[in-house]
Amino acid sequence: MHTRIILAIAKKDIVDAIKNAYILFALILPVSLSLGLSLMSPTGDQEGLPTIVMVMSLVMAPCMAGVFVVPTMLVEEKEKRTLQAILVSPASYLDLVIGKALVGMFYSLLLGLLLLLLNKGFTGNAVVTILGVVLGSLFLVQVGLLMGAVFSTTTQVNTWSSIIMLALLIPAIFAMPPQPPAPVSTITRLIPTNRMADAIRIGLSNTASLSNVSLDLLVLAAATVVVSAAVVWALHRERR
Amino acid sequence: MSMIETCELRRSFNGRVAVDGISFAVERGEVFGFLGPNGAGKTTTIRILTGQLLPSSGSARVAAFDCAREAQMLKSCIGVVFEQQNLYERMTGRENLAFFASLFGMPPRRVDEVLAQVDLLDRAKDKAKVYSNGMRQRLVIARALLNHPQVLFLDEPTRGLDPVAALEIRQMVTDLGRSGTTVFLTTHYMEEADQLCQRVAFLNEGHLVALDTPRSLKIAHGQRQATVLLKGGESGEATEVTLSLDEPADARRLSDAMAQGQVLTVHSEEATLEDVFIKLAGRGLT
Repeated sequence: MHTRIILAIAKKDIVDAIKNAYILFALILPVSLSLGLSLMSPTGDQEGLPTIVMVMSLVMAPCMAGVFVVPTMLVEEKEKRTLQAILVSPASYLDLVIGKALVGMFYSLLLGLLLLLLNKGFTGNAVVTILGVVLGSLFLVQVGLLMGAVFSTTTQVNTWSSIIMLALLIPAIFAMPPQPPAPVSTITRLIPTNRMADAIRIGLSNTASLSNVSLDLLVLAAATVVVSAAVVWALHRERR
Repeated sequence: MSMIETCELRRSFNGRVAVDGISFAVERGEVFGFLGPNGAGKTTTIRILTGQLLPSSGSARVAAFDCAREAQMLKSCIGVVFEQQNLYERMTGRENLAFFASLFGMPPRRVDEVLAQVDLLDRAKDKAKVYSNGMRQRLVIARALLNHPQVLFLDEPTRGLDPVAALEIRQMVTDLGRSGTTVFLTTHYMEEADQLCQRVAFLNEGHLVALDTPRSLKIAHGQRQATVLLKGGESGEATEVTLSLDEPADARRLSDAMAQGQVLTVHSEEATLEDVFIKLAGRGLT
């Protein structure tokens, strides 16, 4: 693993990503939606529309960055064969993957910050909110890396990222009150994005503390580890 | 010490043998041609030699590094020009090179040096997607030269280029060879190999069928005869005769004809590299 090389890859991709119209649209979308919805909403409503908008935007933005941007960047390298050129340089496949993950995290956290600044700013417990966003972003970037390792074309990424994002965002909606009936909530609580949305929702409330969200964060961390292991396996299988 | 050395190199894909026990060595500063039709195993061999692919068995060393076990160290000594022009289209020529220069740890000034070397300095600010085919190929060659490679691998460097662009690339390869860089060139254009390479190896269905200088191969497998066009006699029509280079009687006949000013043209029946390949491999190059 080479820090200089990883940073070079990340720097190149951060600039190149926004020259890709699809990626730029994917990054702007959650911010635009959130801004539009919050302009329409009444102010001062703790559990009303603005909180729902904030929570879903803070889940959607990392989802876009992780589940669309990251695999698109990885798969483009394969499609355009630039991956070959990188792999005959001192950069390793691991360097490349970590570089792409850094870009995913960069855009996730940048969008999260932008969303918080554009909307109500920090209410509730900032540490809990940030932990929820960071751990959730890490999980979603790992999902993106797994997709990038498995898929070979941008068409596959475009098709599957929509499906996977839906599968991840719908459970997140069920983290908002009112809670769904028991069978549905039991299943949705297993999905890491539901936990992410729950942690952010609690974090944005005035009663938030770390103990309230410890299980959510634990599930997120465990899910990240599991997906990371899958990423390592997929990369190992793809190498040579 | 040879710059490239393989010993019984073998590689299979799902039971299909792509490279079947090939052994050869390339000396420092040599321009070495690796010829064969599509599917012969040329690209697979290059991928093994550049550390992108593990061999199924056998060994390969480039610049004294084992291609399988020391691939990461090997990469700082080699440059690779791929068959596809794999550039970042949304980036300029300079940005493409600057990125790879940063991967190699090269200083920024190296970018301008290689751009000048391939005559692209005045187009460095243009995006790669607007470059012509020839310019793209020059850019990928520039990229391969960033790290002052000891060995340069060129995989079909003139494929798909127009004659002018192909000529520019061949001149570049000649200049690189003269500068002392070891060049490993794959191509299925025999004339190109004949012009550029000091030695050539023929690959067919994963097997090495010949390895020698182009001249030796042509002499060894050509017809030892010459076609002579003689001035016409009373009828006025020129006549063509075939004379053996080994028959004293034919040599005297040619000598007499020349003394009498009867000879219009003399052509040796030298084989082309393609003829040699067909003879040895039992098939053509396409």
